Amino acid sequence: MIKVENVSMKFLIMHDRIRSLKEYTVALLKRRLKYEEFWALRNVSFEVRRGEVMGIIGRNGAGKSTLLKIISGILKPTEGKVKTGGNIVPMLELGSGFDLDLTGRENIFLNGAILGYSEDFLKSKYDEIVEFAELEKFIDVPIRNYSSGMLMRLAFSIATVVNPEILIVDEILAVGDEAFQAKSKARMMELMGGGTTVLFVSHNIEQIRELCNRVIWLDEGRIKMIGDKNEVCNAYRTVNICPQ
Amino acid sequence: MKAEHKAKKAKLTLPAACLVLLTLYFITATALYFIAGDAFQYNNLGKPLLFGRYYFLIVAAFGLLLALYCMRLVHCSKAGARSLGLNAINAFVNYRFLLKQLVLRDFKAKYKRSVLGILWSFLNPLLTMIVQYIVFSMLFKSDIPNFVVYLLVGIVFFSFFSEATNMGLMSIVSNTSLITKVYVPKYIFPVSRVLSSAINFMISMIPLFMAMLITRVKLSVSILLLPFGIICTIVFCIGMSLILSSAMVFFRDIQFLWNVISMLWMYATPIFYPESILPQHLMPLFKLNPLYHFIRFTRFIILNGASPEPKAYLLCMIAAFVPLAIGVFVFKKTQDKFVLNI
Repeated sequence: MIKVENVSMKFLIMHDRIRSLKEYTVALLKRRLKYEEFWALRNVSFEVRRGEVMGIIGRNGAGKSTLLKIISGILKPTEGKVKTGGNIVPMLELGSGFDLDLTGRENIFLNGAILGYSEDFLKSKYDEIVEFAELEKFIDVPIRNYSSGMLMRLAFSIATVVNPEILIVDEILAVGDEAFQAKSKARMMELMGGGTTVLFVSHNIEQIRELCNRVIWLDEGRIKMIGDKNEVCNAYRTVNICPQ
Repeated sequence: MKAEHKAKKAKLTLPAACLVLLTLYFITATALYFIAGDAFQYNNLGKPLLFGRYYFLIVAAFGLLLALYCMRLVHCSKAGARSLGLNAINAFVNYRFLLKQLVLRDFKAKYKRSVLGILWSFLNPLLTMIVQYIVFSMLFKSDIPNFVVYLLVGIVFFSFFSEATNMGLMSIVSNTSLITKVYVPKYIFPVSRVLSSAINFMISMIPLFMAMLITRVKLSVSILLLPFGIICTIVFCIGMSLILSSAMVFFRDIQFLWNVISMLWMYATPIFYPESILPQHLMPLFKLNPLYHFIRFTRFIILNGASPEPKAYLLCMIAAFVPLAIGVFVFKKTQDKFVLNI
């Protein structure tokens, strides 16, 4: 269950990013400390029921990622409230918190801890993670020596080993070679279909139609439309016509 | 599901944990009484101290306060009410695995690509000590009894302070990718950095003990008081790291400024010179330095083989917990803005 009530998010954009005391004092003395307000989200309210898959569509800069970050607790909204029930697994970016100097094994525990898994859980799922990532041979090698595909496979396996109550996905993550892509896509579908509450951002309208129950259309920080997937997707298509 | 299970477990064991805490408190207090011995009974002029006479009364009073607070916590957790202490305990229970992982990472990553590895924690203070010993025993002809141990205590404590604050300073900024991608309580980064330096700190105690054995320092039970000074220093460093790491997010100048300040701090702390060369009228200023109290406390225990006066304990606690309180306050006030400014 996710409940978003009147959430607004204001960013202050400084024309010159002030990063040092000297610059700050100079700007203050010259009275050039000007900020421009930018509302990334304005009065967004909606509710996602337990087990529902909610899609979010909108053009670049519409506030989709900001909304996901607010719901994951990374950003605090300027106004409004977010209520969530249950543990959230945000899949905004894979492998954040990997340490290149540590081995694959050590990184499984580090990254798992960052995602909020408990020690017992990770120990019991360790073999499953390694097997899914197909990294049995390289697990005790520092990940500095991994290829980028291997890194993504490891990150994906750690992130999806859990069955969260709320899953937040920014684009379907299909990583690795063709075989692994198919496998990871299947795993994502399994996660999203397994009765978890899902918030799913994508630019792929076909995927949204395929997976979601309801869809939110965000435009310049406001909800332009919310409702049945076909209605919203059709309306979105007519406004944002692709050249092809 | 996992989280709920954990929360239930924590609730069940809370009264038990409180009992353990109270028992530990009374055992430590009683042990302290016997270890300290005369130091609590008479001042250095041989006059009886009120503190010693009423020691158990004071201990009982604090014990009572502690018990009342524990009862409040248990009550709050039963009623499902929110309280600061309970939140802190829950956060600790939920995130102790992450804390452990981060401490391990910082510690492992530090020596990962060096040949001698962890041995450096041990060699570093030893080599610094040898260099400084050669320099200062030739230059100053210091009349400090057992200069080796005197110097080493100062070096070990100060290098911990300098390492912990320098690592803590960068803790938020260098974990940008994590902070902007996953929700993790942010204080965990400075705390984990300080704790991983604390492992180093413990290892660097080994050369200190070796120096004590070689110079035939008389070992007495008062050595058991050592953890008090160590814990106070760690608490102080956590406070400093909280302040520095949040300042660093907004002003990157802090890292360069801090280099200069910590050098000044080193010279302002009696590490390699005796306290007696400090000008008397400036003493109150030097006593504002928390490190002065921790180092003095430790030296007193080791070199005198006895407990310092009761006032020294109080000063150490103030020097540790006031900066911590300021750090917590500053960090709490600014942490929501980290993501926007990082």
